[in-house]
Amino acid sequence: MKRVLAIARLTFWEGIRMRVVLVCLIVLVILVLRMPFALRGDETLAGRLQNFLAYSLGALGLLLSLTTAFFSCATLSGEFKSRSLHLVVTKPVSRFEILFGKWLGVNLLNILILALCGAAIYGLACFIRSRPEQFVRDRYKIRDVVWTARHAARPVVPEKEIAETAAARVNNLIQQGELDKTRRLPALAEEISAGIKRWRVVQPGYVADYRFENLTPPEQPDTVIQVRFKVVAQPVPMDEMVTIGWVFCDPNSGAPLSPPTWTRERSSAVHQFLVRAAPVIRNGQALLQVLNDPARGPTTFVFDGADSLEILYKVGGFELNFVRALLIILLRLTLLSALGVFFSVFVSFPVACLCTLSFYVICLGQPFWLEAMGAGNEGAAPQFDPFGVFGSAIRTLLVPLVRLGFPDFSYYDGVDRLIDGVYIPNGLVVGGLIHTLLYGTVLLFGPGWLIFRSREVAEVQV
Amino acid sequence: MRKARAIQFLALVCCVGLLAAAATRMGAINAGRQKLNTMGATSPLENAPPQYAFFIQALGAFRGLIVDLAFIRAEEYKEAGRFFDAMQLARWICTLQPHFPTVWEFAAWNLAWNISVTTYTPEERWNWVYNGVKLLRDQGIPFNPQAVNLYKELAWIFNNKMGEVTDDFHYTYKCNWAWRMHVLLGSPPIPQAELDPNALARETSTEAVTDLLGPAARKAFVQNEEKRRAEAEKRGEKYTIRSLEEVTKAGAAPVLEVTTYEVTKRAALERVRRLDEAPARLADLYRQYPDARRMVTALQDLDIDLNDDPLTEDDYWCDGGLAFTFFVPYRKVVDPVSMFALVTHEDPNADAERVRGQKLDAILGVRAGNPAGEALVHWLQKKVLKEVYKLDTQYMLQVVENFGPVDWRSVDAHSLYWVVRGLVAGGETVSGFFNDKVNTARIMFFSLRNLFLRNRMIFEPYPPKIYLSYLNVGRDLNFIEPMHEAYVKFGPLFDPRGGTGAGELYRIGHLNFLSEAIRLLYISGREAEADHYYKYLQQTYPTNEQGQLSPALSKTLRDYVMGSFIESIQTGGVREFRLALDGLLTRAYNDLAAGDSGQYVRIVQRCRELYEQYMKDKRSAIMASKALFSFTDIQTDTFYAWLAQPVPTPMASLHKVRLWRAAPLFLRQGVYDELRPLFEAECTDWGFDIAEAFPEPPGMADYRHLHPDRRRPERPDEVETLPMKIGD
Repeated sequence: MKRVLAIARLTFWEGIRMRVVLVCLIVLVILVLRMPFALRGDETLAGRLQNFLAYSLGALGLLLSLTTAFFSCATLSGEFKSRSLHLVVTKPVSRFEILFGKWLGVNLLNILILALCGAAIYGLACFIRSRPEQFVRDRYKIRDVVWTARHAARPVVPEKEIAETAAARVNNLIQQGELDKTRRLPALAEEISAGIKRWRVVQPGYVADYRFENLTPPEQPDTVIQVRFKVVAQPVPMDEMVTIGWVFCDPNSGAPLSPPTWTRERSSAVHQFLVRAAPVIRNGQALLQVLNDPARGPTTFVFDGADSLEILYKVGGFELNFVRALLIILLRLTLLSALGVFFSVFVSFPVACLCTLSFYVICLGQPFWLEAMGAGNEGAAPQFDPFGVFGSAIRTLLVPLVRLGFPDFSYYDGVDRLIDGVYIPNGLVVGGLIHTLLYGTVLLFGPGWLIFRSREVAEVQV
Repeated sequence: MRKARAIQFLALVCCVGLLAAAATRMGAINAGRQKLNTMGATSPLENAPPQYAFFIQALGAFRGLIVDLAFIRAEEYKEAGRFFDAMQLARWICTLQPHFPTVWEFAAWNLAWNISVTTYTPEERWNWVYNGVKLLRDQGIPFNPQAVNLYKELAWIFNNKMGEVTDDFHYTYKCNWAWRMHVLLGSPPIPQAELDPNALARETSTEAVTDLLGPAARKAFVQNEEKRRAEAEKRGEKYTIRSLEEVTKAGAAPVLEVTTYEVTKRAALERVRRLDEAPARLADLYRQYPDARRMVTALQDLDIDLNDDPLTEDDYWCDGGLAFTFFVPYRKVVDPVSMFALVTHEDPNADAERVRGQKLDAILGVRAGNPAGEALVHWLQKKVLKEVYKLDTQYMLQVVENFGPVDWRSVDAHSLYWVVRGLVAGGETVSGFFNDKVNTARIMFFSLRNLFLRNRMIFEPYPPKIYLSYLNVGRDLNFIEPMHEAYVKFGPLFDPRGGTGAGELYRIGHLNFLSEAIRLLYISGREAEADHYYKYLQQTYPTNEQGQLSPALSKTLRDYVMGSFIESIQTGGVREFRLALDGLLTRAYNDLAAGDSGQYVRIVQRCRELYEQYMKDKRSAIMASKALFSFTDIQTDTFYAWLAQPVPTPMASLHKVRLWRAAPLFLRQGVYDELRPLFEAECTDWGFDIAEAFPEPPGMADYRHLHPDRRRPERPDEVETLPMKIGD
């Protein structure tokens, strides 16, 4: 281990001296320091804070990724080129220890930069947070929407009622002879599925109840929760706007707690509003009624998708969330560093950089690439297939390769959640650990080590 | 080595060749840019601030690509509700492409229409909507002074977002804008009191002024040629080509001597002309009025520093800015005490502002009519209009000259102003984008309609919370003529189907507008004008859409007007008649509450005439049990009903206060005892001083003695029945 640490230390100092790392660091520092004053977001304090977090952490992730790719590719290939590796391999150091030491050294540098920049970003975020707010609501928004970690509760599907109604309906059809007994189970499944879809629909003139459970009681009397929704209007009105009534009710008695609040929003877009938590959360439950007044527009509301209606409530603090977001960035960097070292084992520096950065770009936009190659669109006619008649053959090869060979960085991303004040679950960090760190180390210390071990570092001439 | 040199040489030749090939496409690319209105007349670097110039130069042709990507991303963020990200990107897009009008349009639209509706408090809503206005007015338009669509967008925010009632917070927008203009300009002039006799000599004919809508309408007329021909062929008619002049002449309304309208307009013109003629710089002011120098020096003791330095809106409205140090106290001195201030004692700054205002007046001598003081105020008003609100007094003059006496506190006056500026700017545009011009011209119609509906404005600001101010808007008869002129002049030009009057497209709208105008003019005692429009209606639209003679237009003017209130005096029952009378009296009370006692008196007189006529005609037919109450009783009952309605806001209560303080004594005495508990409750709810808000009418003791009970004597068959028909 001593030998590994010694190589790691040397690599670390090599990184510190490397010009490309230095340039990236300087750019990063300038950007992070300038951002709090240059970014205005939507001009609210909460918007500024969210904007700063998004751009600073985005810049940190991007620039460190580039630095890591260059540095990890350069460290081994440079030694190959300068033949300084000859001095190392002649020492009692195994090839595995060299690889491990290099990888560790790159990541030690990453950890240091990430910690310093993370601390700077946190400090500047605190500075923005302490600025005077323009509106009272802004203060609540910062406290309970941004500087927090929230969980998104979705309405509980009344499965029992839906199943009972579906069973009654199917039985009725069987009794009337309209349905064969042998088709009972598939018909029941269809009815239940249709019932759940109907439960998400609010017809004109109707009121729908949505119950939320396991909500955390508010910490303070003025704590707010956020209702986030995306309504699809059917048919879509001329101006695409829908007027929706919202009433929170007592979850026990069902009695409305206030007169309805009417919002007028655009169909198919995400909207949100704040509500004081104390009056509406009772025994960890909340009951939200959605009103569709035909006088305000004869259109049906559909909450299309599981995340189309959510209540976001506090479950944790911002700081831990921030640390998790940084950790996810670090995991990405460990993968990239492993890849860089892996490629530099058998190709030259430019090729290794190209391979690592290509890998990075594919991972960053994995959903885009999959969509572009028509994944999930298997049954499409050749004229709609991006690859024409060869579509199915190409997809059979490419889709599993992209899915398994390239981790989805957009999924393993804590920044979006952090700026939205959404709790970053430990499961995501662990998943990231497996898909990035483990993936990288397996690649590096499996095939990478095998190639490196069998590679002739210097041609021996007798 | 030679091989490497050869490769380098070949690469150089390729570069030059490709550059030359690319250069041949520049003509086509520029033509396309011009066609899509993406190319301003000025250089991108002209007047660009350093950071704009840096990005424009640094990124070169890649700007377009980056902007495209940023646009796509901003749209995605918008859909996802991440407006802070969308706005930041929009700002960068504006920095990268400041001379591309669409990016400003996109950003302003997001601010005013999308982000604003995600907030639910009046202050926030106004902030977003006004940010949209400021972005266009202060940045977008100065960068793209010829882009009609930016003016249109700005006018549309004033007209639709603020002016219409579709947004839940429209009252907030109207109050906030009214407050800004009220502080600066005050209420519009009262014609008889303020009209300069010399102004009459400089009378401007409405026919002679520049035709602002003309270019757009002419284009529409030319473009609709083929459509008109197709429509005529569809109708089986022979199509004859008519010149623009023929159509305009045929549609033009006969010349009318509109006295009240002209007088009001002249007063409004005179007000703006004084501002327009005010010197642009302090040095010029000192030359004309040497005493102004002393005043400017004396004002420094009040921490008012007047100079020629550019003034921003933030500086103007900040603590210690001119809005609060000069104009608000100035208004306290020159404006009458508002009803709101009278009945509430909530504004702790009011007294301090009044004292400051008196000090101001001591220096300026405005109330005493010191011309140097007035000139100084006009200079400052002009400066604020120009530098803070980007309003050019020349264009303001044109708006009043062309369209009538607008109240500048109304948002519709400003939508009209920006439309006018857009059309004038559009006349010089390189693209000549036709659709933008026509759409912009349409906003002119909407603005005029809104001015007709709402230009008569009573505004009493409540500075601590402006959205709680008292704002009462009503129909302004002075906008009947401009609206009518717009219909007959431009309607046929925009309509491919042709037709008389305003053309087929605007026929129904014009007809309904004229019907209402005639009714309003008649009950306002402006019978000559009502008669003029009625004759026009009879001559221009004698038949309905099916081509049958319209029976309503065969009556006398009086019957036509009255018939629109009651289906027919001849056939209507007691209940219908009473309902019509109640409606008219309610309108009269609204006018009285709005301070128009003349209109109140005229409507009540009309009601009395109607009542007497009805009683005379129906005396034999009306059974004693169904006889109407006396006219006084009807007035009192309607007055009672008006005041007894529940009010959801202090402003609605203030409306009652205004009526109460203006109403005739007999009405107040008749209802006071019954309404007193309600008045007390309302005053408690809204923190009004009841002694000021609803004072007890004088002589109540005598009244109570003489009228121990307001009830009528009991009658045996006091039962509601179906309306009685003539001949029953």
